[in-house]
Amino acid sequence: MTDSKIKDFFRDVIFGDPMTALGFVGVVLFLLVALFAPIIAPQNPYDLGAISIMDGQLAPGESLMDGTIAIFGTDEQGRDILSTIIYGLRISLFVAITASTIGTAIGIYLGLISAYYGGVVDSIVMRLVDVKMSFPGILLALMLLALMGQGVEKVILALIIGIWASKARVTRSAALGEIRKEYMRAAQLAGLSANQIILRYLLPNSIAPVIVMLPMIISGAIAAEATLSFLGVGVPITEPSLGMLIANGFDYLLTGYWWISILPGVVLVVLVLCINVVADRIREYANPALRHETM
Amino acid sequence: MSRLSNIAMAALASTTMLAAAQISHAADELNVAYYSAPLSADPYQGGGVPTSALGFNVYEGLFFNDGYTNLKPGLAESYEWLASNILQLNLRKGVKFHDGKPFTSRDVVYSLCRMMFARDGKLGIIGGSLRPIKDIKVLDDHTVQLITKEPYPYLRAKLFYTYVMPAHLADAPGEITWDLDNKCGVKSFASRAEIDNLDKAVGTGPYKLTGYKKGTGDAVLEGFNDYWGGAPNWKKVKVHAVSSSGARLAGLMAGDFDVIENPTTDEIKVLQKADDFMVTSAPSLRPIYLRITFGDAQADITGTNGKNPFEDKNVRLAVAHAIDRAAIVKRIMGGNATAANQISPRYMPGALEGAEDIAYDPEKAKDLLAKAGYPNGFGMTLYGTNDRYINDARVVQAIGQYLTRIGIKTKVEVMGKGIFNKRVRAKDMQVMLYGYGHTQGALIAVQRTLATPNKETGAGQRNRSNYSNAELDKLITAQLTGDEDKIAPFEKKALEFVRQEMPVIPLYYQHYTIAHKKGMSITERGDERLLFQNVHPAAK
Repeated sequence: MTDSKIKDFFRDVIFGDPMTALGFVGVVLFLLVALFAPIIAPQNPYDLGAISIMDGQLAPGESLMDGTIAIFGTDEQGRDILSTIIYGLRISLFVAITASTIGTAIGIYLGLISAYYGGVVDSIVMRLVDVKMSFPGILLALMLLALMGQGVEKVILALIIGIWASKARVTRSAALGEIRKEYMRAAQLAGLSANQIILRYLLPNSIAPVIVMLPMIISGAIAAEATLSFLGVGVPITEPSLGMLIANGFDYLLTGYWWISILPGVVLVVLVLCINVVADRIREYANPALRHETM
Repeated sequence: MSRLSNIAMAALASTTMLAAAQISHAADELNVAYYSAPLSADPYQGGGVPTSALGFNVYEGLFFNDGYTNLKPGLAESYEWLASNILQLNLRKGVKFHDGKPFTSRDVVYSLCRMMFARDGKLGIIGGSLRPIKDIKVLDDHTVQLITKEPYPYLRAKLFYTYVMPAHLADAPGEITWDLDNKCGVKSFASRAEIDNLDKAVGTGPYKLTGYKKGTGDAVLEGFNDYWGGAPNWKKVKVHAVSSSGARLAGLMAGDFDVIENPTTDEIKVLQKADDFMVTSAPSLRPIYLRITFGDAQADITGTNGKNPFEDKNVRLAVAHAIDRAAIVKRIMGGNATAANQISPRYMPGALEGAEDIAYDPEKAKDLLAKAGYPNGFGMTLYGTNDRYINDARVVQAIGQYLTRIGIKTKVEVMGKGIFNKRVRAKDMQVMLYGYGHTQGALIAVQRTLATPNKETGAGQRNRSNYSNAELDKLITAQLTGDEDKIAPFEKKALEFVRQEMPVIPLYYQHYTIAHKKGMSITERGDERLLFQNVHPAAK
């Protein structure tokens, strides 16, 4: 896209609709908070030496032993909830963005070679996709994590395995449409290698349908990671993501320590909502059929 | 989530449904929610406390104990040591099995034999504690002599764990003798399947098993009116296995359950405020401690040049002094635990009396670390479960805090008990939160978990920590071969050795907690087994 096209995109698509604008600002804010977590957060909740169980279960607004005020209260380990949310946001976003990007990239590449080579390659890739799609994604991730154990990198791997398949299929169908076009033949006649053709011609012309899905994939990955961590197979318990924070506080809902679970839950909902509002708008913009109705 | 709906249900129930629910349960039916499912109706098939807890209501041992290892007469009305290796048992007369047949000496020999062949009819590990028995002599229908190879002071304690089952339901046409090479002369013992499907689930206890659902573990029991010990408290008892604590609480509040096991620390706080329920707890015989894998350093240890730092006693002591037990008991266990000063629960008969508390002293801990050659600490991972002991995942994290503060940079990893047990067997976790108690005597747990493994004596049967110390083995052997009334000093010596050497780092003793409807009175046991005869209905 040229500069003016980008400007137009922001003017018409993002800021052309107040809800989308709000969502976009929210996403940017969340990203900034996650990026600068160590500067913004009052406490490093992952440093076991910096927290104390003697500060446990303080209500929002009470002060820790060292005098700082816990605006959002503390959990049973004495972690400041605000700090855990800020750091948790960082983990949730990092896991989701990394897994979505890698998973989507793998999916796109497999879709492209599947479409380009056809035949046996196509059959193998598409049967793999079929096998993958026949498992419920969350069940597959649960099984993998039960086998591999906890860890951020393991959660990312489990999510990637959940993400790639459908993207391969979407890219393949888009690429099949392109392959029959004349510029592809021209490229082949010009003697370019298969890799060059795939990456320079087929890729840019076939990825649009998947790329517009990316924000949606990310928000899906955030929710999936939260689910896995809530079920206790995700990130390490001392480095909680938003999902694990909700799980940690769940036991306390009956006892009145509502802030341990509810506050991270609210943040998770708002985060996913912001991304989805923006993602929806982009999808509508990219899909001519929808655009005519709504713009 | 079902837990959410349970909470909603509980909230609703506490206001509106309670009165109605109480009427629908007549006082002659007791509904108990176990925290975990009994694996089998045959109490020998493993599965921990729930399986044997159910079994103890149906079957009885030759001796009983009060839940704190003190032995009382059981199906053996009295006993006499004729020599230090000959125990004569005088059996109770007039005892009937649930099918009406009388209990005699033959049933005793059969039951001890069945314990030896409890799993798949093969001579196995379950009966390990009866291995020292050389012969069993039947003098008459109600007198039996047990003869051991050497003096065996724990014999009576072991007999608490032998569930007496009827010989007439087995295929044993001839005489039953203690001939382990020939399956005691029994063609086939009552099998697990025959007991699970209730064909042969017959004991002498106060309750008959009339329903058992394999898989869910739910069971139905009926009071046995011919019980020798008097009328049962309940006409009918229903056991529900409910693994989610929220669901147990909701069930109690809704009136579906009269008694629930193991409410969480936070639920206890809610229940204590409620008018219609009571929470009672009893100190349990289960100590919670940090278990160490000795030998090679595992992958999670860093900064020690490949050495296992825990081989050094100073490091173990440093860890022991780094932890504020009182804070953990108060802040995380909600007071439902007792700080530990030794491996055997301090209130357990035979435990060291007047042993010093393990002081919380981070400075001393740092000094000890420096003395061991780690002035800047080292790195490690502390492992634990998140579904096995009360608040286990929280305790592991809190200990991580304390260790990090003295310079041991600690990562924390918790997992479900299934994976955890696999890794315990793989021995690849250097330090973990663990709990193992024994109901037969203060030193039995030590003998089983810390002695060098020895198939002949059954020592070290559960020693997966690679710990092996000749001096401790000597002390344990000494106490295993004395007269019953002379073992206490040996026990004390061995326990003192363990206290000083700290091959495990004691943390606290968990309490067994149950919640129940107000008006009932319940006597709990330190071995965490709920006997329905100990649950007394509310006075009408």
